[in-house]
Amino acid sequence: VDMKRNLTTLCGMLGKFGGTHNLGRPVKEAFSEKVQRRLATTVPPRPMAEMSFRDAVTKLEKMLQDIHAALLVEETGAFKDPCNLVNFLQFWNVREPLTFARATLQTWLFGDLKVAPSIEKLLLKDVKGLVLREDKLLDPINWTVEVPADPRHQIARLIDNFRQKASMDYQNMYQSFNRRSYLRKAEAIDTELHELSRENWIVEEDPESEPIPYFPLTYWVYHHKVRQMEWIVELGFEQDVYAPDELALMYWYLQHLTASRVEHLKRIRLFLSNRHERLLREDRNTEKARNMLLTLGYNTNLTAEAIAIHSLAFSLFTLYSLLNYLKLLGGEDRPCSSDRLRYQLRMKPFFNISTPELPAYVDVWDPVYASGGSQEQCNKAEDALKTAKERITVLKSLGPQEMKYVGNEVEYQNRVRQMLRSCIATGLAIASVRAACAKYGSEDKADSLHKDVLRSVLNVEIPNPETRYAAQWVVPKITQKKAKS
Amino acid sequence: MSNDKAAAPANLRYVQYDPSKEELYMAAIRQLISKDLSEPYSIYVYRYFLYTWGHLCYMALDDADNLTGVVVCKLEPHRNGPLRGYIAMLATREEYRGKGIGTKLERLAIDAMNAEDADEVSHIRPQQLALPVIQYSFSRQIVLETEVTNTASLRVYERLGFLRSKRLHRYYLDGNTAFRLVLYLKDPAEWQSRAGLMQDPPSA
Repeated sequence: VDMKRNLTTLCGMLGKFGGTHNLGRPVKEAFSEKVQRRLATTVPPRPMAEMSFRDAVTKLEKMLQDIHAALLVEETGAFKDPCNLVNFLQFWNVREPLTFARATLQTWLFGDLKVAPSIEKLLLKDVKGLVLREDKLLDPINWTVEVPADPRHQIARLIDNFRQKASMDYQNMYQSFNRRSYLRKAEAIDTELHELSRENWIVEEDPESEPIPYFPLTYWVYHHKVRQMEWIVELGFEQDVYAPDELALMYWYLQHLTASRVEHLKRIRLFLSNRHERLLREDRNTEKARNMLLTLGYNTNLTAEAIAIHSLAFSLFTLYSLLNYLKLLGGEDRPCSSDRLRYQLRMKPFFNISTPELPAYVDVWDPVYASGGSQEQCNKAEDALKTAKERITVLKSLGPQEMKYVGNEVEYQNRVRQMLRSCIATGLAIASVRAACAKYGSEDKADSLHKDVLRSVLNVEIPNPETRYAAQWVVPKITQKKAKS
Repeated sequence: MSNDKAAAPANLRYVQYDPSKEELYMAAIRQLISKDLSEPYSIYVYRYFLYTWGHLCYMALDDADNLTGVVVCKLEPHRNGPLRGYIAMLATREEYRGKGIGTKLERLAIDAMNAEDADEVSHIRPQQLALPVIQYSFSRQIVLETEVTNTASLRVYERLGFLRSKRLHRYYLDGNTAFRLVLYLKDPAEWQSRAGLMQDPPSA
């Protein structure tokens, strides 16, 4: 492909720019305002930024590096599996690629060049990978039946219908990674996916063969929806959008979302294993059974990941609500606003979504004594960390095919390692608070004097995104100052 | 902050702008703001704000009538729905920073926008809202953007209760990234239940 060849050549020139620059002479007339006016655009000439040659070269090199990394999507075959592709895009976007690079990759995958299979094919593969492996619903025979009254024909029609409706939003999902302007895009996706999921209960498996009714397409949509919501919340941490006293609320919400997804994955797993057993019993088809095992394996791995995220989020939520209770994170005296209004504003994108349900208001400022005091909070936080670490160990051992990160082996291992480090750091923070509470604190609810002492003893530092182990895990640094008695 | 900063002038007056003051203060306002803020604004930008919403502009003047701080805002219905206040510019003289002048100007502006109740409604043409003019206050929010590196500005607003609602990549001409800061003054739910005639506000 021509484009690819040109870009590869360009990438090969990295590092060679600038060597002969001092031999050149600037030609200002080559891009003057007059020239700008002639460009095929109705936008009036903008003020032109003067960029030094060195800055320009740096920018060009970054662009080429981004494209070079993007080329890997084809070389490694990452595009073949939709989940893998999603992971690839996520990892790639961490480098904050320049617009041209993003546009190039998008054209590659979904534009005229169509490196990736069409969106509809990807969609179906995705659905298959999560819920409909070896299911009669996706049996190709269905599409060959022409008798309209035959349920198989109807099934084929319904699936096609779903595919058409969902493909727009599904494509949006890929594009939203490329743009990271998460709120608007994601809101649209969520509400539309939600609409879709309401329509899809018509597609049911024959209740006689399955003890529980199941809605595969709805389940698939729901899983993606919740995952998107989790990513949105995580992105907020990465972009440093939440104030210190909001961290408790946002980690609460993250663990709320992942808890729902864990339950959901278990539900899917149930009918996947039913189907697997049936295949072994009736069909004796070893290839199909093997495919089922792979899908089941992926479900297990996804579950492990979700539990890990849930546990660490829960631990941080518990820790931050304790810190809020001790008033160590500021934010009490805000003359123009109130906690409720701030909650309304912060959770605005999520209110229109009915599941997982979002309460009208969540009080994260004083749940501590509802659940038994500071030592109890620390215990809960530490237990959650244990679970997180266990799951992370599992994640570390998963290969690229099992966890769908072909093409990003290094990044994946880094991510797992960063998460583990975040767990350890959280443990240290909890230990500091626990020690201080044990020494200076009092478990008597009415005793505010000891809260003041604790406040003068503890120093909490919220690291900014660059200094964290992982951008989405905001672990506070807690140190003790000398107590003023 | 350096030690050789002047202490805040003892007698600072906070004065509300109005069109009659243009000759006296417009030049000083432009000078202070262009010195402080990175975005280049032409005279038309100042006129846009001050001609329509001059009453939402507050100046901090010292004894000698020198301008030490200024805030410029506007207030408009946002997408056929709630009234949204927008803080366009806030600037304080460098020597006088950190003394609460910016915060005070902010409070004046926010209070002014808050007080724009029945009066405000009567200024809006009913056709614009597509419903009869109603004598109650809409839900209110105030919005502004500021560079992610502008910690002083962030501190002023966040102390007042603003939240960072979005991060805007490369928002400014010089390539800097911005935070959009928003403050809810009234509960949207409360507003929605009363406005049975209105459509649901689109998710912004």
